[in-house]
Amino acid sequence: MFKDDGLWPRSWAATLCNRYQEVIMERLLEVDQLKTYYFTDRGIVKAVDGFSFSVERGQCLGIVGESGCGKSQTALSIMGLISKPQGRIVGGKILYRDKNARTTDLTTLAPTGDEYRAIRGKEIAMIFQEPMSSLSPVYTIGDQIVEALTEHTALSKKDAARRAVELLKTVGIPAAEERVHDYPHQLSGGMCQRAMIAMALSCEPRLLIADEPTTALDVTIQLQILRLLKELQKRLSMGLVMITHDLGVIAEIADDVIVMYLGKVVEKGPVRKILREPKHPYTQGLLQSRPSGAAGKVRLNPIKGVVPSAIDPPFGCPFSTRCPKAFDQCGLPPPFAVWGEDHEAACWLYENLM
Amino acid sequence: MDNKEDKLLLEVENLRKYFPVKHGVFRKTEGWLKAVDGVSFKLYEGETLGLVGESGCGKSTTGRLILRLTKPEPDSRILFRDNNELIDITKVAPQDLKHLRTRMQIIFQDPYSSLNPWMKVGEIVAEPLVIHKIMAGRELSMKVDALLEMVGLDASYTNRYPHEFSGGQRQRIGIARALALDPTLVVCDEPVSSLDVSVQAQVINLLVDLQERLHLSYIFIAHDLGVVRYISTRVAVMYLGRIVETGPTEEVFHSPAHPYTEALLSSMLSTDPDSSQKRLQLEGDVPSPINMPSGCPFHPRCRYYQQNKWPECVRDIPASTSVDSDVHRARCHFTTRLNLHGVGDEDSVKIGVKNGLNT
Repeated sequence: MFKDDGLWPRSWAATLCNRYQEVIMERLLEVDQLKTYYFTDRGIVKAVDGFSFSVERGQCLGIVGESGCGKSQTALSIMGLISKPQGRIVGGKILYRDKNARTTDLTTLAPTGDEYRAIRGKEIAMIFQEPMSSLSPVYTIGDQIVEALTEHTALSKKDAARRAVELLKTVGIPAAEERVHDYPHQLSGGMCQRAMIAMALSCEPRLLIADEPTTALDVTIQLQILRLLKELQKRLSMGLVMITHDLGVIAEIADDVIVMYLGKVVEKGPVRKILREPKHPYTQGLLQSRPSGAAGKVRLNPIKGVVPSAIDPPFGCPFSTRCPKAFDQCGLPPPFAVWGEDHEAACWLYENLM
Repeated sequence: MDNKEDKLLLEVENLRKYFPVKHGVFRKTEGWLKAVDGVSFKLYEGETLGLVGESGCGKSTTGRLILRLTKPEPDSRILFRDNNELIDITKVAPQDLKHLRTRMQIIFQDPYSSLNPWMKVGEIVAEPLVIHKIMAGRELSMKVDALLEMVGLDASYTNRYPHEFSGGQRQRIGIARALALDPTLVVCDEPVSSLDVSVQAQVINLLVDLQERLHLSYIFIAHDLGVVRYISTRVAVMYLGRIVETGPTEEVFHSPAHPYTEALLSSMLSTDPDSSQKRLQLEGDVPSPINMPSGCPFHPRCRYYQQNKWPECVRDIPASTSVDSDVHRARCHFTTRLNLHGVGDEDSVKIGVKNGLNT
């Protein structure tokens, strides 16, 4: 939509941008051409390289890809948690639209400044992969939730403690009145993840980013947590960004999907289209790599090789080095081919559709 | 049956392992954690037995007990065929274990912590051969090259260190090390859980190929039911230290006989976005193995118990009963009365095929 090409004065552009957003759905977050690079001794790691997406209220967006594809770096960029001095957001915008319909570009805020702190944890919350290591081992889970509440709301300590118990009940922790005094090591992995979700929800965020929230959990607990997230998302009409490597999780919870490879979008569209009619060879490869069905019937057909280093990504299509259908043209960056309104894939195979 | 007995490789009977729970200054034993409590199964040559269950159900401990990495309780029996002779591993003296270790090996879950970072890849793979004084010198280095090539790595990698490799490659190194002594039994303890999907499929293919080529038997421990279904000939479902159901893989997946298996299968995620509605959700966590529920250990989470409140479930520990055939057994009082649902055929994803994507 809005591109800052330097011709427009910033204020006009911003006004236009806001007006545009009021008309369309309640858009919470718009990431536009985000570039997060790490400057290391061995070279520049392009963790996120021109990544764009948007999240609306009540929408669950799934971001899927293998490790090293920049999924988590995207989340950390939004939260302003990119580790300095090596890591830096070198380009693009992260436009966040708050309750008062005011749009802020998060990349222009200082990550440690008051403005960012007012948003992080309160308006945009995040759930991390390993509940055990992301909670502090020296405070009880109650203390940790109370800290978030007193930091972001006007609640007194006493009220915050009461609210913490309510929150633990909401996320389905039995005997919440007693559990609130437990330390993380006293809880199971699933219970810890519930406590993390309770903490993330404590300030009623409008956008929740979940980075592989169920990867460390058992299948039965995974289903419980996914159901819980889905239900809470509907009830609080939050925007939810679900980052995962598991297409099964995507099928369970996401409305729309972005497939990410080496910091770039390779395919995006509604969940049913992506899983039933995948267009990009990478998405197809991910689906075929999943063992499903009976033993010995079909040999698995995995993608060959591994994700190349982000220091020296292939020129042109990032997937060209592993793609079974690669041809000469893949040396050039592929444009997006479009099916219908909302299904896009960046692949030269579909040049006639571009 | 006789024919089958010939090929029996491993027979585990009443395998038990209790860990003491100690408290206080004097480390007084205040209870026992029954990690493995009366596990029995058989493994035939060239077969893969999948062990599944939630974390803490004792599947890894079972694997370690079979290799005698942990000592089982006195009355357990582990019979293992070595040179056409069944020996009870639990009775073998510690000094004689070394020979047995050449016959059985393990592949660990975490390829990052199971390889010594100070050793070169060549040394890691050669170590078992050196320890057992099987070969040395030129012969050894040729064997190492052959092993690396067998697992799909380049022989020139011998002088590199583990940190130079990706997770999938490290797991291949771990597999090469396990196969160095030509074992007959390999315990795979979550060998693909920490790998990316595409790499996971590569390693599974490798394990299947090696099994065919070297006539290996696997005990495949995993929590990912999709992987277990793909690789196993038979599965054993564990819950709180006991096998609650065992049988041929497809039989168990299509017509489970234990409510726990049904719930476990139902929580298996598929890539079908419309499958979500049909799932049965298993409530609660696995109870602590220190404080086991009375009767059937699964009854506090069992939806059928909650509906019917059968007194037997709280009172008696269910015995293992055969279901359709003698090989398919379950530990549930009401298995014949319940109508349990397994995975349908629609779950085996045919999406790719439909779009002509299987080229």
